[in-house]
Order: sequence, then structure tokens, then C-alpha cells
Amino acid sequence: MRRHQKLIVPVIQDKEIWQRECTVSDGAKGHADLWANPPPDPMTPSRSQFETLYNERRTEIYRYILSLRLPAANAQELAQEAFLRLFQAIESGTSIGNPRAWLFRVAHNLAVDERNRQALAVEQADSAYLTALDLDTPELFVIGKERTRQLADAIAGLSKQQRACLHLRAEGLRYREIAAVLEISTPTVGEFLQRAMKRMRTAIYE
Amino acid sequence: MNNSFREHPDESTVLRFLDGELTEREAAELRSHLDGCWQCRRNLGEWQGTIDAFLRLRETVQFPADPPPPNPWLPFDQLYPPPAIPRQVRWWNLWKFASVAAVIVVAVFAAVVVLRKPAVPPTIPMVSTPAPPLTPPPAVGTRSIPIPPPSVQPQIAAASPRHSQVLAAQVLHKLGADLGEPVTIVPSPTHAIVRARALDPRRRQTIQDALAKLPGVAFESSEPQTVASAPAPAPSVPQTPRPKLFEAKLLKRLGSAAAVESFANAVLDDSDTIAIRAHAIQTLDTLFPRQTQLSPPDRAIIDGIISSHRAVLGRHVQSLRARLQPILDGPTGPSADAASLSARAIELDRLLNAAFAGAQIPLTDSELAARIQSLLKDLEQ
Repeated sequence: MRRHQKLIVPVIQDKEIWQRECTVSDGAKGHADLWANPPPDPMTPSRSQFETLYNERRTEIYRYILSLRLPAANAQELAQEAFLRLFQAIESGTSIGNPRAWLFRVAHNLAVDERNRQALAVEQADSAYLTALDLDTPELFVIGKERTRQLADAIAGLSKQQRACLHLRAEGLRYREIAAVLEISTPTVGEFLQRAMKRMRTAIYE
Repeated sequence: MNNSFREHPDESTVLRFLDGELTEREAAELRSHLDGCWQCRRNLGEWQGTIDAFLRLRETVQFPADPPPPNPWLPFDQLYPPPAIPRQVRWWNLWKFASVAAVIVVAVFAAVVVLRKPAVPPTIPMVSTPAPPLTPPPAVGTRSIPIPPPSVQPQIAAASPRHSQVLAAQVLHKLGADLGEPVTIVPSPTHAIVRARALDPRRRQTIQDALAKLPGVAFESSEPQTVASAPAPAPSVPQTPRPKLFEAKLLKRLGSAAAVESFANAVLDDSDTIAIRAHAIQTLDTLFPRQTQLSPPDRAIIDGIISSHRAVLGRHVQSLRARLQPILDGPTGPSADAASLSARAIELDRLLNAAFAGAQIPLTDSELAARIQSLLKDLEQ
């Protein structure tokens, strides 16, 4: 439970306007659908808010699309496309509760479509990606090079969904938000994350 | 010892604990177990270590290896160009039209007056006020046809502190800064002061920039050293949480603790919004009471803001009622007629926290349920 005896005149700071305004509720169903039942608020953000969102969030959206193993040029185009769609949707009156999660979802769908279009090349790049990286980095010596290699192998061995869950969680999305992005249930997100974490932990500690 | 995890918690529970996905009570129980269990603490440490290692790998290896965007990012205006025809142009045209119409009406009116009073020399009607040059005429002695001034009107605004306050309220509303943020409009005899306290610097800048365009509005901000005037948080931790009111009923209806938790969160979210909107309405009512003399366009702006708050508030009250209807059967409590909108919203929030988050309150379960019912009814009205 997030709150306990929360007090009166609500003072909420340091959050983006939509996050402050539109915490997404997934009701009693236990499965979030951010778009079927968005918080009903007609307030339309201003252009400068759009601009701030674009400037501050585009890198993480780009990075997420890259993590789905699309080429950089595609990733950048799709990230821009996702923002454009968000702005258009809001301007056309669509009520969007959590723009960040919405962006991830649109980016995810665009990326999946693009992947399907380029199927083969992308699939092959998938598993080899992390293991091909240079792991000789001082920051990683905390767990040792060998363990780091095992960790990278473990991540490479995860399913696409598990990796997506991990990535989105690392970007700070909550389970229900991840569920909405990937269109799976919240408990499934928990299971995917648990399995992924277990593999990684085994790689590091056993 | 009050420790419901008599056996070690399973992996899933520990991970959800680390991710903040447990309910307050579950988390408290797990913490209590961890206090006494070295094995689980080590276990938890390893999960945390796994998260650290994963993040480290991401940040030190994966991100640097990610190819940078091959092209410069499209500037925002290029990605999402502003509308081609600025709205002002159309307003100007409207004003031109209105001005011409005004001149004609004045001329006709004057002609009628002259015809009815032939004694007056016929000089005045022909000299009728020239068409105002795109801005409304300064209100000097002569009576003019009451043309409402445009709401954002620099000359008039600079002269009227009330108008500046209205504009400031409008801008704050557009920015969503009237929804519980520590930003207040302070009336002053000469202008409007917008005072912000302990705001995030970026947010402060956004608000300051937006207000800078307004005439007669000064922006003041102070740093967070006194976050204090907000009421002190309730001493929630040491208290034993009250048994949640509808927990058993909800568990039966919804089937799982996670669903109950999610339901409670949704209820408290609704309540949050209601309290925020009620507070915003009350603030506007206090700042611009009905008896205050505002020009019709200014009053329309304030009424517009209030009605948008009311609309959201109404929807959330309805949503809350719909959610709670099935479990809130029984009689309604006494009505809270005397209480203001904001006070009711606040009380509702307090009661819902008692019902769904286990906060302490000196009411029996049935009293609590009845009171929630009646407040919802009042708010809906």
C-alpha cells in the first residue's frame, strides 16, 4: 500500500505533470489497461510540456527500441514516431493516463512491427548481442570478470519477454505498467522477472 | 513475536518486496521476519546484488556500446509543427468586425437620439467614436457599447490587479500547478504575486517562464528550508494498523490479495484526485469570491477553471461510488451539510485511508462505512 493516513492538502512535488495528475488505476481487475480506462481528465498539456517530455524522454525510448535489437537508424525514427503519435493522440482528445508507459507501449509495438518486417537479421543479432560486448571494464570487477561473463550469458539466454520486463523494470516502470506495455498480466510480469532474476543470480552467486 | 512469516518467505515475495510491490502489511511482516532471520537477509542481499550487477552491466557496458542516434534528433517544432494559423489572427479579424459593428450601432443609436431630441445640435452623432484600432477603447467618460475586452489584454491587464490574478490563475491551471503544488496566488493592491515554495527547479522555471509573459504578475519562490507548513505526517509507523475494513469482503469478491491491493490503490487514487480538485476549487472560491467584482470575461475564465475541476471531481466521485457501491451496503450516515467541499473531500480521504490502508480512526466499522457513504453522496451533489 502506498499510503497510510495521507494528509490533507495534497502537496505533490517533483513529478511530471501527468504522473502527478494521472496515476493509472487498474481497478479491481488486477490487470492494467492504461488505455481502456484512463483517468478521465480533459486537461491538455501545453506545447512546452510536450517539448520537455520529448527532450527528456527520447533517449530512454530510443534505448528501449535498441534493446529490442533494431538498428540505430530505425530505433531513432521509431522513437520520434512514438512521440509524434503521443502528441497527436493527446491533441485529438485522447485521454492518456501515463504518457511514459504509453510511449513505451507504442515504441514496443512499432519496434515489434519493424522487427517482423526485418525478421531474420534482427533475430540473429539477438542472442549474440550481450556476449559480444567487451566486459573488461573496471566497474564490473566487483563481481569478477568470469561472473560478469556468466551474467551476460544468462541475460542473453533469457526470453524476449523476460528481457523486455527486465529492461522496463530497470527504466523504473512498475509491474502494472510493464504489464500494460507488453500486454500481459501483472502476475505474469512478476513471474518473468522472477525467472530472469533467478538465472542472473545463479550466474553470479553459484 | 508478531511474525506471520514463520517459514522463510518465497523468492517471489522477496523480489516483490524489493520492487515495492508488496502491500504495506506484507512488507511490514517481511521486514519483521528479516529482522530475525540472517539467512533471509543474506538471501535478500544476493537479490539486491543481482540487481546491482545487472544495472552495472547495463550502464557500463551496454549503454556505452549502444550506437548513438545516427542523426541529430528532430527539433521539437519540426517533429510537431505548431498549428499553421495562429488563433490570434482570427481573433483580430473578429475584433475588426466587432469594431465596425460597434461603430454602426453607435451611429444608429446616436441618430435615434438626435431624431428624438431635435434641440441638440447635430454635431455629436457624426463625430461618433472612431472605430477602435484593434484594441478596445480606453473607458473614458463617453458611454460605449459594452464590448467585452479580450481576456488577455495587456493595457487593461496592467491596470487591473484582479485581472492579473485571473490570468495567473489561468496559466497555473494550464500548467496543472493548481493541483496541490505549493504554488499560491497572493493578491496585492497593485498586482498579482505568485508564490512558489520548495519547487523542483525545472518545474519552477516552467512556471516562472509561463508567468513572465503576463503583465502585472510577479513571481516569487523560496527554497525548501521550510517544507514545514504542511501538516506534520501522522505517526504511522509505530501504530498497529487498524484491521482493514472491507478486506475480508473484498478478498471474497476479488479472489486474491493482489487484486484487493490493486482495488484499494484505485480507491485511494480516486480519493486523491477528489481531494486535490476540491482543494483547487476552494482556493479559487476564496481568491475570487462570487461578490468580487470581476469583468465578465474574467469571471468566465474563473468559472471555466472551476467547472473543469468540478467535472473531474464529479467523475472521480462517481467512479469511487461505483467501485464502493457493492461493498458499501447499509444505511447512510448523517449528512455533512455544514462542511465545505474541500473539508468533505479531506474527510473522505481520511476515512478511505482508514478503511483501505489501516489508518487509525475512532469509529466502528459500520459508522465508518455509513460516513463514507454519506460523504460520497454529499460530494456527488
